[in-house]
Amino acid sequence: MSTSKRPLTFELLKQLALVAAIPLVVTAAFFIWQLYPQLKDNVALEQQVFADLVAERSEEFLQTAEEQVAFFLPILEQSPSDKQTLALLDQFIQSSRFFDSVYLLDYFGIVTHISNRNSDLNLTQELYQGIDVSKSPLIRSSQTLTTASWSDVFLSVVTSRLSIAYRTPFNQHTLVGELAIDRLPHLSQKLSEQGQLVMILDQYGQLIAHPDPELSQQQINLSNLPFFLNYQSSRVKSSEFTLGDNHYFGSMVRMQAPPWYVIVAQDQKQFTAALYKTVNLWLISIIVIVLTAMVIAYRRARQFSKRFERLIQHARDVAKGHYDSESSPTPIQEFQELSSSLTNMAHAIENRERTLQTKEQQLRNTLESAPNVAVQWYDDKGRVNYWNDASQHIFGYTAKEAMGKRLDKLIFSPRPTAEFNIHLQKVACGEATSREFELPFHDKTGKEGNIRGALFSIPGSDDTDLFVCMAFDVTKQRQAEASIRELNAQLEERVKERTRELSRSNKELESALAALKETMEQLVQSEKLAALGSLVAGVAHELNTPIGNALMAASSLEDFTQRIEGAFKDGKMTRSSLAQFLDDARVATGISSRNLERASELISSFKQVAVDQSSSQRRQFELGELVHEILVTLHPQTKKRDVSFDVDVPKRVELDSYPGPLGQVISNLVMNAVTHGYNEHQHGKITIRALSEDDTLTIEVCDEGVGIPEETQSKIFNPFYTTRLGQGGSGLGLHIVHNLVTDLLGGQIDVKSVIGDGTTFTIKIPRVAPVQAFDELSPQPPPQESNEKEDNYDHH
Amino acid sequence: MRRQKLWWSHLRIFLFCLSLTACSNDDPITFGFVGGLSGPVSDLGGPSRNGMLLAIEAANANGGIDGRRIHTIIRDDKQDPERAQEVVRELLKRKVDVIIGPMTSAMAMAVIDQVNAAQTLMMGVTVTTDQLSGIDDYFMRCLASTGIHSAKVAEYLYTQKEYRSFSALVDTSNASYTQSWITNFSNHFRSLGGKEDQVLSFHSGDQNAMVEVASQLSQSGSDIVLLVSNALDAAVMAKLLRTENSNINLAVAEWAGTERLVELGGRHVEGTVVPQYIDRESTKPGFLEYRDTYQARFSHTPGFPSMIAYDATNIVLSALKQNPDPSKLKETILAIRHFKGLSGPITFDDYGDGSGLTFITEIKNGRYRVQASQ
Repeated sequence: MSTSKRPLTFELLKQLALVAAIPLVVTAAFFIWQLYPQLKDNVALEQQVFADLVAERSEEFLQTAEEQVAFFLPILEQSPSDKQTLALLDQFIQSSRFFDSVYLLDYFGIVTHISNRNSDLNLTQELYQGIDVSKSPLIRSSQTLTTASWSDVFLSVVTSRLSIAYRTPFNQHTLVGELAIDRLPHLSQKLSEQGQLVMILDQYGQLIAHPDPELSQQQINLSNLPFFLNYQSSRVKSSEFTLGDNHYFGSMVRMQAPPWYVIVAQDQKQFTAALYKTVNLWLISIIVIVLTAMVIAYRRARQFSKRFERLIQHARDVAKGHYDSESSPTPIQEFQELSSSLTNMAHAIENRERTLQTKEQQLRNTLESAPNVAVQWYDDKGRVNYWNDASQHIFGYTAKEAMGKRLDKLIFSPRPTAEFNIHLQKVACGEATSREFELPFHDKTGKEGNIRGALFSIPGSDDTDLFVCMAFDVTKQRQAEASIRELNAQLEERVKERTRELSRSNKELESALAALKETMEQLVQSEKLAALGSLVAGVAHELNTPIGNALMAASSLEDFTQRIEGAFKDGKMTRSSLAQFLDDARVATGISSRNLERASELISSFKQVAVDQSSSQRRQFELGELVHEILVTLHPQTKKRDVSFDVDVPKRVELDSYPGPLGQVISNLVMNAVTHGYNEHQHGKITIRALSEDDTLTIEVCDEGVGIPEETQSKIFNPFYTTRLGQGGSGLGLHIVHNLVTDLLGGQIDVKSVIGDGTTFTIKIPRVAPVQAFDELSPQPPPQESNEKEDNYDHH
Repeated sequence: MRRQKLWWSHLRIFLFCLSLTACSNDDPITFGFVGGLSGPVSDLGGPSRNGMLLAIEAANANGGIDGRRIHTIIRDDKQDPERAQEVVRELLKRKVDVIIGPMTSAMAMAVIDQVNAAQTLMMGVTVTTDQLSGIDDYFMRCLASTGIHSAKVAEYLYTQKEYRSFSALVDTSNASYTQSWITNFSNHFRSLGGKEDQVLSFHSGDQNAMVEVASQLSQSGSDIVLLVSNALDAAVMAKLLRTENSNINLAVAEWAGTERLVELGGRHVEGTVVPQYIDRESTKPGFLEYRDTYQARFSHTPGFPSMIAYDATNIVLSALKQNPDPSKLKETILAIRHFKGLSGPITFDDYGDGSGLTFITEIKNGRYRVQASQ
């Protein structure tokens, strides 16, 4: 996207120069990367060799000094007098190349004889004889010294110079030769002349020899130099380091005796000079090569440039429409191909232009002859640029009249004009590629209508865009829509009216439903009362037999009594007649008392059931007793049927619940089984099972009868569902059972039935019934009679 | 267009980096050092240089002064006034921010005019001459002036040791110090009621003179003989005097109170009274820590010059921390005024002279033992 223009010559020059320079730069970088470390290693190796040499030289130097002492000692031993000793010492110091001062220490570290190189012997003797150096840690006496050794560096009291001392134990004495270490700097200086800096450090890192003798005398401690520390800790022999203001690259070796260090170093600048020299050579060659390449490239580029200029001229001719122009022939194949391609392109353009003209004409005709689609073009100011026949047809203006005018002068009132202009602007600024609109207009005659259309932009002939509007006349559609809207409004009104009517009937239905519910409750109530009535009738009937029997026995006894009484009065009573009477009386009283007992039992059962069921009182009771009482009270109704009961209720199942309603539930289920489970003369067996688990009690009432069809099973608990409609069944029995179990007793009821195999009702209730909001329900009728069995009830 | 922009931005970044390096705040602070590093007085100069280095190395290890590193230029004056002037000229030319040194009063007197002209602070180490006391100049020191010390010595010798007459030997090679010292001592000793027998002089290095004056002094009969010289000369003189007369009582000036005196004097300096600027037997944690650090770094025990140089350097460093402008260094130090030294507090008077105790010691079994601190 760069808009900067560079001539071809420059570009070619640059490219060629780069081609020449890049390999050179890469090679130079490789040199620095690869050869620099090698160069460094070489230097380090050289330095180490040199340092070894210096160390060797220094050691040799000191060894020679030691040897001198070794030669001297036997001579000194034979000295007959102090004076002679002193003379020998003086002779020694004057002849020695090494020592500056030599003295003898006695056992206690007192100087006994001393000779100093540059001083008068007597004066030296006067000054220093008797000096006590026993407190000096360096010049130790034979008291502690056992073998000959070199001392650390110290400031000599005799010479006031930094010195080292060679100490040799000798006849209870110590011979000390002091050697000023400023000789070492001379050595160092001499060696350093070869381009390397040579330094010697003592064992504590103190500088004792440096080409600058001044520095040697300053006791500079270099033990904190990282180079020195690294050598100590990890024997790094060569490293870069900084001393004062200078940066060095140096190598270090350690001497044997004394344990000094020799450093041979080279100024970093010097060290890198060789490298710089090579790099400079590289740089110069790069420049030379690049320049040469540029000169050659310039000449080649000029030639190319001329050929391109000719081709450019050719292309310009084609652009101006001179499709027949030809470019001059050239020997280079690519240029020739480019030139002929240009010519071919010119012909192709000519052909394409012709085709385009045809296509444009076709398009224009299409636009003009579209009968219903009004097509207009506008410029960015909204002025008409094109106006097809359909536009004329819809708006009434001819193309000539409309051309160059804005729409507010033609068909739009101010508001549609504004809206149209907004659409135009949005399309113009690229916010939307096209905009759809629907606007009211008036045609030339002032007739109003609606157009619906789309607005989009197409590239114009120059840089500005043209805007195309394609529109339909939707006046008639809008009129039709208006009438539909009117119809809709009417419809809505009608719907509202209907809704009002519906809510009215809904209210009526609700009240009817309420009445129905009330009726149902009344029905349930009367159903219960009817059941109680049946119970009373049944019990009365049952009592009839024992009481009748008792009555009969009593009247028979009365009869026997009157007869024996008469015989007694008549004196006709015989022994055998009295015995007969007593027999008869025993039989009669036995009969009556048995029957009265039976009646009494019936009454007490009835009483308990009646009390329980007529009042839903909560109390603690035993399930077995309840079942027994129920079966007793049901006996009148079941005795006529060939039905046997199998009761499997565990003993001592205590409940805290409502015995009445539970009894009603069980008796309803039993009677339901009796009535519906078996045909009238069929033998049947009804099983009542109970199972107590923790707090839950499960009671099953099973028969082995006809069973309930599956599709009916879901409906049997519904109110008024009966298979005996019109035969006395009210359809409320199982509904009541369901309500009592789920509401009052807080449990659930389930039915399982297989056609032909029988039916099982399973009740699960808590042993402690849930607490009800009320203490006592309204009195309920005894449940003896289930709904469906009135027809079977035996009225007596 | 974009490529051109890229070039421009690269160029701009490059120029920006250049400008950063040019006006970077990382210019090091430069400490100049001048002192006798070789020859007979190197027992003052070497340890002083080491003391200064220890303080600066610690400061650099802690990141320098506000990130600026501290750089040193160390020069040897060889106890030669001309040489001292030459190296101070060089230091000033190299725009050092402060000069630590010199060691002796003679050198200080030689260069004082140069530092005053350049308005560069010179923090003396063991320079105590009275000739520089009470002058508002660019020379400061953390020790009290010679007169104060020698007066205390006089008082000690007169009242504690009950000496009533003295003779003295004075080294003229450091006359600024030695003359101050002996004059003050004499004045004070006489004002207490004592008597001056004779004051002889020699020039350090003149061995003939030493032998000569030694025999004179040994005959003086004074209660006490004072050796106002460096440690080496004092050791030799002590030997000469004690050889002649083993009962002679000796005292030296603070200048000689280095390790050298004991090491070379041996039994001949036993019982010598030696005033010290510092308490060598101090058990203060700062002192002990310093002693250990110094020992580890330089492999020998630190003497008093190193401690004074250490204190002097730290005083300059803490002033620079407060105000990094070296041209305001003197004002900053005087504004702070109270500093903590290794041996105790250091307080400057208005003229930049420090204060401090004088610890009077006597050599017993080769060790300096503090007898009194005044």
